[in-house]
Amino acid sequence: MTRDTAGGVRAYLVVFGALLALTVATVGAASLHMASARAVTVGLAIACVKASLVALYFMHLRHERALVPAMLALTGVIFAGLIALTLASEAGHMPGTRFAPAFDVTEEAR
Amino acid sequence: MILRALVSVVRVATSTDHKVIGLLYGFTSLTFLLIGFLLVLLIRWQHAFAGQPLPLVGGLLGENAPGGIMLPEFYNQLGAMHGTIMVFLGVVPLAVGAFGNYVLPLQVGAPDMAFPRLNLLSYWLYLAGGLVMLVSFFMPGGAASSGWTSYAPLAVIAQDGQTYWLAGMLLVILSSLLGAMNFITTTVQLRAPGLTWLRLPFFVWAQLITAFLLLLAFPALQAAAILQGMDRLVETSFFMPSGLVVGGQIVERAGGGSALLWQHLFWFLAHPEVYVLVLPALGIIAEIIANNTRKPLWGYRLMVYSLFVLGFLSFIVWAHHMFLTGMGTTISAFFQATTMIISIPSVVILSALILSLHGGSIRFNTPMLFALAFLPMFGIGGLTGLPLGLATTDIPLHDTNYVIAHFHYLVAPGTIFALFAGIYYWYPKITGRLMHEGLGLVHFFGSLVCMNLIFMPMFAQGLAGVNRRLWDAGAIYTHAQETLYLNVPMAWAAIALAVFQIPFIVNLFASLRLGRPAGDNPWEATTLEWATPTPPLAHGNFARPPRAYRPPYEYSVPGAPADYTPQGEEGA
Amino acid sequence: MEIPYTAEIRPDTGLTNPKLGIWLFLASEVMLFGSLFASYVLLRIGAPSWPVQSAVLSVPLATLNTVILIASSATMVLALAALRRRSLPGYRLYMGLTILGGLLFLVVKAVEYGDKVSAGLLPSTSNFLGMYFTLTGLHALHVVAGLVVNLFLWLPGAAMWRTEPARFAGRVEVAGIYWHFVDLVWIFLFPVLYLL
Repeated sequence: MTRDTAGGVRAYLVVFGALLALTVATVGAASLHMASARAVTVGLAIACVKASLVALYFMHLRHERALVPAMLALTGVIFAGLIALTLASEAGHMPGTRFAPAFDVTEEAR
Repeated sequence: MILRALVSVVRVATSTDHKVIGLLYGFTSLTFLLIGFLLVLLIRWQHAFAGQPLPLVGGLLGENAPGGIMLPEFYNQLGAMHGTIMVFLGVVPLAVGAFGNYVLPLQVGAPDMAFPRLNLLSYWLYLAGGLVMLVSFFMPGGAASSGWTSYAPLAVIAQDGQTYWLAGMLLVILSSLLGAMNFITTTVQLRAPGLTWLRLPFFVWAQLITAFLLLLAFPALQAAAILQGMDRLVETSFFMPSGLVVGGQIVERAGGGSALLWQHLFWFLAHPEVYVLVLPALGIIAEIIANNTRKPLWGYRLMVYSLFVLGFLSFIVWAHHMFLTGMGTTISAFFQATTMIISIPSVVILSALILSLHGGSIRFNTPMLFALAFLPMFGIGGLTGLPLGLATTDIPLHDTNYVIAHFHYLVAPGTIFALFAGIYYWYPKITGRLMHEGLGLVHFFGSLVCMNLIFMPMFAQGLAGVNRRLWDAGAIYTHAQETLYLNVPMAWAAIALAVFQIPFIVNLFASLRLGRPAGDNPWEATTLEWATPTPPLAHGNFARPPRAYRPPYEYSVPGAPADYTPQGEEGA
Repeated sequence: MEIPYTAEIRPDTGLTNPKLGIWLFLASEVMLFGSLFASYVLLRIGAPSWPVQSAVLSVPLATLNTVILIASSATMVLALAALRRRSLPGYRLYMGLTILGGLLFLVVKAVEYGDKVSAGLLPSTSNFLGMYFTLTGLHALHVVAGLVVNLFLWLPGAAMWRTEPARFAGRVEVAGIYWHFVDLVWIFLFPVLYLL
């Protein structure tokens, strides 16, 4: 309860500054028109750093004991399973069984 | 007089006491179970005597059944709403909302749930969702009719009932999420002193894992319902493929959506939901078996660890419902493998329960009979699921009555028997009186025989290839002819099953007044809920703050003064 | 009847009930937004063509909104810090700024929506716009919910500070964790919907 001393407030302001800087960075990176795979990587990486800063400092996650981080990690793993397995199922469709013609178009283009 | 009745209704309906809320959940969900069961009676009649007027109720159905003969459109509504009501408004709210609410805080020695007002809100959201679903029957176009799975694009272009279904579902989901938060927080934070993790009754563990499944799986359906709502209301195309032709007309939409996306999101919830149906039942059965064999559960720790494995794996098996969508062989192999693996912890738990019987001096009371019947019924349901988990055998069996038989063995003589067992077992704690054993026996044996007469023939029909959703039960198909006659005994068995519920309903109400007084601990049980006064105190449950001194099932401890040593009794 | 650990920390878990509760709720929210995000990715990968998002949507307005929301997140945590220093006026100031930030965010969002609709760009136009309206709309609903809670804690709810200060600080902390999560969702929505 005594964590929020003047030093704590200074840390919040530093984090706030970092978040603003990263916002500028992500807009700047987008204006470079990188190849889409690289742009996605950079954009999501910056977003992950920003999100971690918010979670660790503003939401005080770094002060939490194991229970909450473990639960969030479990949530992360399950979310990763959802997106990875859904995409893998859809990407692996046997020819002729796709509902959206869009899939066939990209397949043939490759 | 009326005013006083009104005041007491309002007092009950706004009470934040977990026991009152649990009972509200109990009565509401039992009512929904009855409604869902009545819907399926109509289906069974239709299957047995397709095209013949419905007796007694035919006239009440109005334009849904001109001349008492059910229209195919109405049949579709019955099928969709039977599944929805049974799963989302009947079994889960009874297993989690009612038993979880009433028993879990008592078993962990808590004065109430961690968030009592949120608990009340959960109940009201659930009731609102249920009423929205019921009201849709009386709207133009009737209730949802695209199956309980609401597959797109069929559901997107369906009548208005589907919108009610989505709205009701969003309310029920919100209710479940808030409830899950509450159960987990209560278990983690409000455990009595001395009640360490491995001293928790198995029922609490089952509820805890169930709550995590609800918490992390339900949001996927929440998202899917929002997307389908957008598709229906503002004509987006999330689930609408390009060039979709309906009734000879190309649907005027932007297109480009994925019908399979719905299936992924739906089954990402609905497979864990299967374990939400099953785990609380296993928890109840474990309590009753330990109590009535008068010995500790065999392999308690193994059972708890199996729950963890089961809970986690249930998130990565969902696409075994989708083998027919033409997914690639690699990913199909992955889902087949996880599906086979998840049967291991299920079998471990079931085997542990069976081994728990060994060497016990078993008391054959009504709750124990239901628990004993649960074991083989659940086993049949589980083992018949294996062919559905392998793509090769799933392809011919998919969407046949075999599937219906498989999961009904798990849920009807499985979970619902466990819920009956739980009602008979905890009734004396709630009311102070025991339910009548004779009526209980009639209810038990009648239900057991009828359930098997209804569901066993479905395996035969399914193996013959009869599709599960047919208005005429398959009369127009050659391959269905040989098993068609089975529908008649199934219909009579279903009606008999309804009749055998009457002793239960009578028992439930009559025992309030006429039941044998039970005292505080009629079953001589060990867990903390039996350390409360009967009924537990309105404020705080326990007369003095409870404390746990030992594991949950200390029955027949050598050298102990009695054959049971309560968890809360002082001593080494 | 008192429910234990509503305001004080349970020693073996290191948590109060509301704090564990809000984190559990946020875990479900992660799955909700995560499912929508997965849907977006699947639809986008499966589409034969996808609009250049930054050409359809207004990046300057969204950047402005990002700054506003991050700032309101910062003031929210400063409001809690003020309470911990036992300064109610400081809390009132920073909480007021937080609420102002939330309102500004919604105003900018409304301007954006208005621009799209008047240009004939509706949710039904394409799956990109459908996803844009769904995701940002759901996010905006979360902002509204956070504003309601914050307004309550700013004015009538603050009366609790005099009677049960620890419990009130706990409430502000929990409201803050939720508010930061709303910010966190936007941190992902901004690049995903506007930039990439």
